[in-house]
Amino acid sequence: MNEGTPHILNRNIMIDLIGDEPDLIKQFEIEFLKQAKVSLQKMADMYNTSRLHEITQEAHFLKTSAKAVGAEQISHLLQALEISGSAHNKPECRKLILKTKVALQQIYGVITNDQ
Amino acid sequence: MYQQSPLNLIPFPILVCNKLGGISGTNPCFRDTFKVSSNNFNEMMAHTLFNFFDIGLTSCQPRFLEHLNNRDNFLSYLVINAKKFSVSVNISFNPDNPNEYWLLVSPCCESQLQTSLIKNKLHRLNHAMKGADIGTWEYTPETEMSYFSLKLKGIIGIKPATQLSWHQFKALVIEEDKANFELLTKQECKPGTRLSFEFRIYKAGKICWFKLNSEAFLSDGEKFTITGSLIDCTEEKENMIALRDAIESKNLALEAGNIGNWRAELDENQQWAWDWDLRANDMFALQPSDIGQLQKWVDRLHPEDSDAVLEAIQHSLKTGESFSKQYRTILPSGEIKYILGKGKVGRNKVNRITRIDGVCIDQSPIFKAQEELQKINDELEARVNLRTLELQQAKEKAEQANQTKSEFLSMMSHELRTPMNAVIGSLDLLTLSEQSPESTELIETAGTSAINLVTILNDILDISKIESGKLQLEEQDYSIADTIDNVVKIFQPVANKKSVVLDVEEDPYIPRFVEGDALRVRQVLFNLLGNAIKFTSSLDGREGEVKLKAEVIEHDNIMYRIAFTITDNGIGIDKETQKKLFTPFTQAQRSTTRKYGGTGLGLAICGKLISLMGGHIELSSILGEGSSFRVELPFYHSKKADEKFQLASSKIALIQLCNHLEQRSSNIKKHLVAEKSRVAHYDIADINLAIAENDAVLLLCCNLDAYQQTLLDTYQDHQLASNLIIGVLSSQISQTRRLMPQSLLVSIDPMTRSQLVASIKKVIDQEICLALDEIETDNLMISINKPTSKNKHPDILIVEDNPLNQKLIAKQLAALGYQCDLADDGLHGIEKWRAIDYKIILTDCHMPNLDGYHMTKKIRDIEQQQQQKSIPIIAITGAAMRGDAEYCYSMGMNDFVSKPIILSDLKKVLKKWYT
Repeated sequence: MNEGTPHILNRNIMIDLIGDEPDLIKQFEIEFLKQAKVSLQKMADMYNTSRLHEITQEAHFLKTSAKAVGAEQISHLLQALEISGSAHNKPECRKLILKTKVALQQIYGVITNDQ
Repeated sequence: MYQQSPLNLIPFPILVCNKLGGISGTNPCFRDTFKVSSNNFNEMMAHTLFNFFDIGLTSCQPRFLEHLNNRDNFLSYLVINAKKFSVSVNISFNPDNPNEYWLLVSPCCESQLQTSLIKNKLHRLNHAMKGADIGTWEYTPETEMSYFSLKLKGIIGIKPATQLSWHQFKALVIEEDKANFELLTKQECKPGTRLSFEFRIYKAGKICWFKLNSEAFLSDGEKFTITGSLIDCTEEKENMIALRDAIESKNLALEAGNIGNWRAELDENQQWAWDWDLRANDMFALQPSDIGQLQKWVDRLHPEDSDAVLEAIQHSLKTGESFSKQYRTILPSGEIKYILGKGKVGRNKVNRITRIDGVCIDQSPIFKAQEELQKINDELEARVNLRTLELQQAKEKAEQANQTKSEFLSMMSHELRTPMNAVIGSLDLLTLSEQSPESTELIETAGTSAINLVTILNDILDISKIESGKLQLEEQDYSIADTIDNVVKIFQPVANKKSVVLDVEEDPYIPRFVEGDALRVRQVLFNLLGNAIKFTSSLDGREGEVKLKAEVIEHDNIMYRIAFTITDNGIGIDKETQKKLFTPFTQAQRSTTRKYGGTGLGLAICGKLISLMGGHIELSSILGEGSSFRVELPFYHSKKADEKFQLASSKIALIQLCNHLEQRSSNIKKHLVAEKSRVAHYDIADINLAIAENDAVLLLCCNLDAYQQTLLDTYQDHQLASNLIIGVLSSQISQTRRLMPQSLLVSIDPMTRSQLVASIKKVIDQEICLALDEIETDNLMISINKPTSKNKHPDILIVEDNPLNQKLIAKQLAALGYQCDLADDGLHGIEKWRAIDYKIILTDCHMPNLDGYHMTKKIRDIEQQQQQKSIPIIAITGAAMRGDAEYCYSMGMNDFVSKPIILSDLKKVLKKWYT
């Protein structure tokens, strides 16, 4: 993977934050997965009811967690979602939410494979 | 000087002078001859000595110098010492000095001088006659000898060398004037008889006038001779004739126009001398002896006009302005005449007013005609007023009657509708109950009839309302596209049932919303489209077609003007019926009513509604070929300022399976683009790409039979694609539905703009269903251990809304040996800070309820109010953008770190601020 390509899950980030403690890192990753699942569903509901501005706030909220656990792809998607939400670009929001779901599924795959 | 000169030796009298005539000397002979001394001429001018007899001047320098310079000899008197000598003067240059002349002054006889004088005079006379263009002649009848001067020949156009006899001269004269010449030779003529007459001669093809003067005398003592002069007076004669013609013409014109002429001139005593012609005199019924007596004219003026007329004349004579006045005159008979007087002032060479010339015109006949015309006009006006009043009363009565009729119809319609609704309701209920087939059929017939009757009553109610002026139009924002869609949806099944093709063409530039009466526009379209389908059928191999076209024909900042055209190829309407088609209760023919039903009110209502809305309707139709109704209506711009486009930012793919769908595809694209979609065309082979890249894919197919397999393959491959829409002909919708039950289908004939946009929007706006249940987190759950409390009371406050971040920072602090308290937002943070004496606050910036910035500001305000020591507040920012740091400081924060916080950064910041 190129250096510029965002990782599905970049564990070096967590090591920088809390040190090389795999169990603790795993805990945070699972914590993020749980949080992201709830948050993404919230964003889908917001989309279905055309509350695009709220999507912006929710994406920002989840983005800080994604950055912390090294979920770089999701972090990028959420950043784009923040922009599309505030631009009221509904078709783009739709695409990004669906892509975020795929990225989350990939993280889930990484975490479950580790166990 | 000339003592030794040869001059002195010359035996003739010599006078020497220079070129200017100054005397420079004389010879002794001169002095002897004329008895003068040598110094008699000192400083004298030579010309003073000569008296030119022929001009009678004693001293004439120019004449002398002329002779001198030309060396022209002359005869003259020489006057010296009051003595007068007749001399002949010969001039030559001084042989010794070319600047001097010698004048040989020889005495001569007096008679010699006289002869010279006569010759001279004759010479001058000839010159004068030549200059004056006077020819001379002489004729002796007895000898028939005649003489004609060269000048005369020239005057009458004969060459000088031509021999001319008296008879030849007479022959040149035109026949009418020859008699004058007989007078010359009559017996009565005696010597001394003078005659003068004019005659004409053809000269160079043109008649010329000549004047002949004659005098008879006896030549050689016995012979009767006539002599005289001849001058060409053609120009003078022509001028005279022209002048006479002009005067005559003027007189005739004045006579014909009964126009009098008047004038006044200043006389030598500076008094105005008045004069007028007979016509003017007669106009005022004056005597011929009254001409010129101004007072006589003044006496004839109407007393009411007299002062004004005289004042106007005085004004013109004083100022030079033209005189123009209309006035009356009273004749002795008591008759009053209306006179128009006009005059123009003339000035002399020194620009002084010296005369006035004018005319007076009797305008009495015009005034009389005007009076009679006025009388007739007054009578006519009175009659017209009377008729207008009668008509007004009749109109008011008719309007009142019409109003009463409309009110009656309105009331009756309303009163009838109420029980009719009860009848319909009852029939509906009856259909629910179990009935025999015969009864069911009768109930259905009764129900249909009742509904038709209500429709008729509604029409009557409408026309009554319109005619009684009680119909109020509504002005509301509405969508023309939705109105068209609504009408088309209603008539599409009817058209399908009759196998009539219903087509719709909408201008993409019709705005989404306009202001108008949607209900009435719908009513008009409903009527016109309903009629078009009603009177159109597919017969004898000809497919019935009805088309509704809507287009913007004009717009500005206030209004849109939109045309709706409904065209059909139905039965058509004959010319005679077209004229009365918009009159209530009129159908094309009675047979039409029988065959097609209806009251004939529909078009009358349409016409009146359109007129009420400020539009107009046009009809063109050919019997047997079809009709076209064009309605133009004005609409105000919608007041909805922030109109959002329904498909903004969407990406739409268009795929057409049939080539002849180009036009339809192009129209669809225009409508989508008007709604701010980005539209791209794809080939069917690239449908995978189209589905992946676009929010919606519209696949157009107009021939199900030809493309059935392609559609089926596509359907099976993309059954789960939620953004694929298949557009087929309305007649093939059911068949397609059976083949592809889960597909999203839309009719493309007709496809209204509203239908198109709604179909696309439905796809774009369809809900997201994430189905996240597959991400199973319960089994993975490992709880994060809470940081163990070592020995200290928490003295760090973390304000952060994200639980994961809260836990993360808490873990990081624990790793560094610190304890912390947590707050979920700014409000909670202030509450905690008030309760506990923390050493430092680490706060997120963006949080619900109260963000980190405003929490800091409030804390700083409270600290200042209560004179508390400031607590270090460190911002944890998501993205350290340029300007973020300044903003943090401006709100009272002490430092900031980027989120997520790297352990080393956290350690550094605590080292700096944690005390």
